[in-house]
Amino acid sequence: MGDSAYSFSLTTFSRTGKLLQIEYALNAVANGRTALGIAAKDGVVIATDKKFGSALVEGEGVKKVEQVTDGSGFVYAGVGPDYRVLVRKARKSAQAYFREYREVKPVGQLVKSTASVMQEYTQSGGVRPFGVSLLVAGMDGDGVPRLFQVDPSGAYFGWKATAIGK
Amino acid sequence: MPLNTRYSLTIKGHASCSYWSGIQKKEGTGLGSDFGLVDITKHPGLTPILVPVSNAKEDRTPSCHNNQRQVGVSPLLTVHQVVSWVAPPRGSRFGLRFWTRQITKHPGLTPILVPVSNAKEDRTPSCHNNQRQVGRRHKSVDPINTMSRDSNYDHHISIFSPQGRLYQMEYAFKAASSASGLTGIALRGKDTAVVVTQRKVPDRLIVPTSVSHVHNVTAKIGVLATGMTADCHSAVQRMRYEAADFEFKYGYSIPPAVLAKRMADIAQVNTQSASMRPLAVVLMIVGIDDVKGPQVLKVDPAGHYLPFKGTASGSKEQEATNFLEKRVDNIPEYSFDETVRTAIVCLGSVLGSDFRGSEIEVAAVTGKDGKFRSLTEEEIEDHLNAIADDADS
Repeated sequence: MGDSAYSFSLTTFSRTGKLLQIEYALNAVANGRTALGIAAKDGVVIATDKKFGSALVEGEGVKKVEQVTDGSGFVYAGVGPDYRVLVRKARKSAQAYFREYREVKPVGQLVKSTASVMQEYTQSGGVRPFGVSLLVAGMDGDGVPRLFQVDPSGAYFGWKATAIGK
Repeated sequence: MPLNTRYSLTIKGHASCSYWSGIQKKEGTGLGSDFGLVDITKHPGLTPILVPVSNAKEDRTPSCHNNQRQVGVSPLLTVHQVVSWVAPPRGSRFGLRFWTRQITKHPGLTPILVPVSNAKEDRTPSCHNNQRQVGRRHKSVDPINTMSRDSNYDHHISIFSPQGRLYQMEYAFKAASSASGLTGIALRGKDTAVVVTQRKVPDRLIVPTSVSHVHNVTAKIGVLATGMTADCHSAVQRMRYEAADFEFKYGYSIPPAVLAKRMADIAQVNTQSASMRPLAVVLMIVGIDDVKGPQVLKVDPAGHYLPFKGTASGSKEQEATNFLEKRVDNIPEYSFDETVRTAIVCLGSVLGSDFRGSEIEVAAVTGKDGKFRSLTEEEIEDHLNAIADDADS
């Protein structure tokens, strides 16, 4: 994903030791529409609003909550086009997992690999970090409902309930 | 030397900054208000580097330190310029004018212009009079280190600004809507999808049919590409390739929504990777889906795509959208004629003038077996006459 024209990372340390592009990406998330998730005893729910700028938009087919495997789904706050890239990569990695192990990829593994992709974009050459925070909701075979948040830095956290965006 | 440009002075070749500094607080002046220059000839062997500093609000240095300067690293290659230095007027305010001395008075010294970032994280530690910050002692410029001064580059490449905005993407939007000066409208009815735009031929010697913003992509899908002409052609070429590749791989022709998503994903890549700028094009993809019927999808430089009942792009986008919103409940039920005529009337009302058949382009696709095609001048004239008759009656 790094471009040969820019063989150096665009996200570099400031003098105070901060990675500013990641902080700015978090600002982009904070300007995004709210998404939230709640993990209950026997299930987990994620939701977001779907408001369009105009009555002319045919919104029925537009989806912000996307299914990734049979047992997991994503929702986001932040830059929509960046989110689509992550959904596609997550689906592909889940499919590759299934091809290898003949089992549905567990939620925790899915979160780890998605977070790893997001981290790569903070270090690779010529690209900027993703401007989205993800909420990943899912349940594995063990029946335990799980909710995770993944940030543009690639850090992820398990939550009982949380909200992201505005 | 432009006025109101701050210049900061440092002398290359010294890691510590205590005695090379070219700027010193004058006695009796207020906090940071006047600066003087030390005679460079007292420091032989040292090369002064002029560092222009932006005066933008977010770039102001903390004012609590006298004579504090920030030196960064230049993204420009080392430029040797003879600069004339101008003595400042007395009492000039902090940061408003800066000053320089006649370089000719310091023979043998080569000034190097080094732009400086004044971003917050670059501010020097405080509390020292006459403290200067010397940047890296680079003889040549180091582009890698300049990238860490993010706030200077967020306008140039696709990285985040401090507020989390992507300026390059916003500029691409502006270019797309104002570059060609045209307005385009796309509308979908019950079984028809239509695009309408102006045909502005820049020169009478140009063959009019060669000036077109409406393009065929597949038999059933067409596109109205508004924005910078060359970018439009590039995007349309890519669409044709993607549509053909889809049909080759999967054995059936690409649905309009899938093509729109693909073009949107391609547009998104340019907003995330620094080496290519976003294309200044707004695509209005129009086609018939085998299941969902006629579709209009708009793809923008940011990589957003949405299906619409009717939409507009270009310089009069807002007015055209307002016109269509008033009719939003009726639009999905329009017949072919109604769809075409509503689109033409919309364009006429936002442009504020009538036109002849040769001055607009209309293209449509109708019905499950329809083909996307441009209407001929006679057909457009027929529609215009019908509209005029309706208006009279």
